[in-house]
Amino acid sequence: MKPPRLPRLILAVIGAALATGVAAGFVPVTGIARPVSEPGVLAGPASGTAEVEVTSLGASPAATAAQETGDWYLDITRPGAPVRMAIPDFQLAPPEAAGTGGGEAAAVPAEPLSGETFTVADEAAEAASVASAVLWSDIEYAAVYRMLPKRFYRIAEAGSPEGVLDYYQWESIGADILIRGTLRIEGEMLVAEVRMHAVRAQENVFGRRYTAARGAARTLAHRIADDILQHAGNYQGVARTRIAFSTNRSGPRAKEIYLMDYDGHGQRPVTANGSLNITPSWSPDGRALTYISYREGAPALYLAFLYQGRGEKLVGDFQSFTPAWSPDGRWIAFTSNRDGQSEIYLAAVDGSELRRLTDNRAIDVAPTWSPNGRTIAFTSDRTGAPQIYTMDRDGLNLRRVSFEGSYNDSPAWSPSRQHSEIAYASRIERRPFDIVVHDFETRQTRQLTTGRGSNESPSWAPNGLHIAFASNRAGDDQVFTMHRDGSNLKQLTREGSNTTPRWGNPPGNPR
Amino acid sequence: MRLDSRPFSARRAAALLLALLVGFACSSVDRTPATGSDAAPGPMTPPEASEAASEPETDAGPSSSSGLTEDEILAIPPEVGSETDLLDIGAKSLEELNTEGHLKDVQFEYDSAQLSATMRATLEENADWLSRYPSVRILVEGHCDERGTVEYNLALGEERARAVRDYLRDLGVGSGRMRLISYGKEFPLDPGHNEAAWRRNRRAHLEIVAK
Repeated sequence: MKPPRLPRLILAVIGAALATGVAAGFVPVTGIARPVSEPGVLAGPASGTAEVEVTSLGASPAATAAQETGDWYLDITRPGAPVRMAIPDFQLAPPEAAGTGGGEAAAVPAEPLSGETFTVADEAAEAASVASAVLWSDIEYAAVYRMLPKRFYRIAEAGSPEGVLDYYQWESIGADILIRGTLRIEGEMLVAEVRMHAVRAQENVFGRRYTAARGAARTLAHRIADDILQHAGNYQGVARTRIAFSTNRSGPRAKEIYLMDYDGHGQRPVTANGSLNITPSWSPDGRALTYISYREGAPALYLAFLYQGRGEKLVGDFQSFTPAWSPDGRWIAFTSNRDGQSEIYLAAVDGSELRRLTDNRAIDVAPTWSPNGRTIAFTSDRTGAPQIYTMDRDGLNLRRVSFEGSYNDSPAWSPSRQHSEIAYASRIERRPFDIVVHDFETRQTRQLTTGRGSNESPSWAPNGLHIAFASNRAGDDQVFTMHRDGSNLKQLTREGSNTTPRWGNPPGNPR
Repeated sequence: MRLDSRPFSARRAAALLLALLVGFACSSVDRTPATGSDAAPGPMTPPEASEAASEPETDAGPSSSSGLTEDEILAIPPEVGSETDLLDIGAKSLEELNTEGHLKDVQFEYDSAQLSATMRATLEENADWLSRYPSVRILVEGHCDERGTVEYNLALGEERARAVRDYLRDLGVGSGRMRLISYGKEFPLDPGHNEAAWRRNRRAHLEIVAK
């Protein structure tokens, strides 16, 4: 849920992170030096996590009142037809110092760089172009609106007097919702002002100013997209989410953990130790990863704190595999052989309170948590072949989930509140793996990929509506995303071999 | 032990004779074939190899026909005689020792950590070699082919390594000399995507890590 109240002054968007300063996104500023001998964690986040400041611009009185009183969103329904959205490109606005609440940077004029061919105006135009494209694709990705083609907009704009919004013109081209934004550079900041209009109601229902560092146009647009989706239809967007994965692109005999934005942009390393680093799992606040590294020989459980550029070894004795961070952020479930065979264990995130949950001679591996944290699904070959099971988080109440397929593994429990379901990789009739989803309510299993390469390691988007997975359909393993019905396939990686994608929450946004 | 496959018969006979004369019989050689029989030079059959040959084929290997499989060819003991010539392992680097292939991989069936008779024969040779070089420590690596999933293969690779470690321990290799590691399907030996590659990749590899 979004914040229940939207004060008209500055919203601290990314929570506590903002308290440490705008630069926290790029450089460790906490004063904690990165120990060279510590797990090779780079000073983590990059483009996707720069801070965006948000100010309300006000809207129509009714909409403003709704914003003041609590959770709200526009409720536009068109029986039998999708809601149609028009999003013209950002208009360039001249730098102005008169803006309200623009901050201390507002008075600083954009410095003309003499002799440079790339002027501030060019930079602003470039930023507007990037922001327009990113906003469009973020909204389109959600697949809940019909995007009105931009070529129609000229018709609506031509019919409107200069600078005046003529709702009838937009209604005539079929728009239900109109998103208009301006963008300018003010000092070192990029400033966007965005308004959302309910066209037939002729109402401005949303108005906000977004401020981010120059060069953070993508981040700015992602934030705007998630806001729009939230307020246009109570939809939890994924524009600010990121996907962690393991890749061999940095060299032979090595795999490193990388991050990327949900759209594949900004692929960047988290580890750089030249060893084998695999199977990442996100903390629920999107600020840390746990993963397995062979950097000291045996595979051990590590934590990487992305915003402090620091890491630590959590469980180092014996071999550990396939960690999974609990939804409440306090526990990590993983597989260990410390008692001589592969069993599921729990450890508190400070490494204390080690508990064993399974006890049998078979392989037990790949735990995944239910959204409420009370149940763990995992893979076991106790019947002779790998199948998916669930158990309570104390190890009791074992149930078998998968009955179809000769080999099922990589379970991923959906975080969705609407759909109680679990995705996993399934071998059906001796083919390579396909991604299937088992619905706990209907007890039905649906197949999302069909026979193109081997598809494994599914991971849900935080909204439970998309799935990332690895597939070798194009040669090497690559990371793809698709909707939860298998449509809208997108390939995100192309360099090297890329496996075990794990989709995480936006930073500082615990579930 | 391909590097040892030079003709040795004369040297070996002389060595054996010397050993008999001096009167300490084979104490430095752990493999003690049929003490009663005379040490006739020529291709003796080590006990484990004959055991392997006489034991019925219990594993559902791909070859039930008369032809030798790759495993079986690899499992044929080298020219006898190399056994008494101890390598000067101190003079070799770990890398050299490992590339020279003194310890042989064993190949598993698909989705299995069971040791077949052929695999056990190979491990017995490995145990013999290890008993001759008691200072050697090894890493037992479990690997899988690409057809299984990442997560399950990590556990399966560990089961394979553990099965090999346990059998070597039963053969007298001290537990303290062996460490286990599973690489799942992360480091295939053969990058191919066919039966031959998968077969090579479903393996336990013994890496010498100290000498």
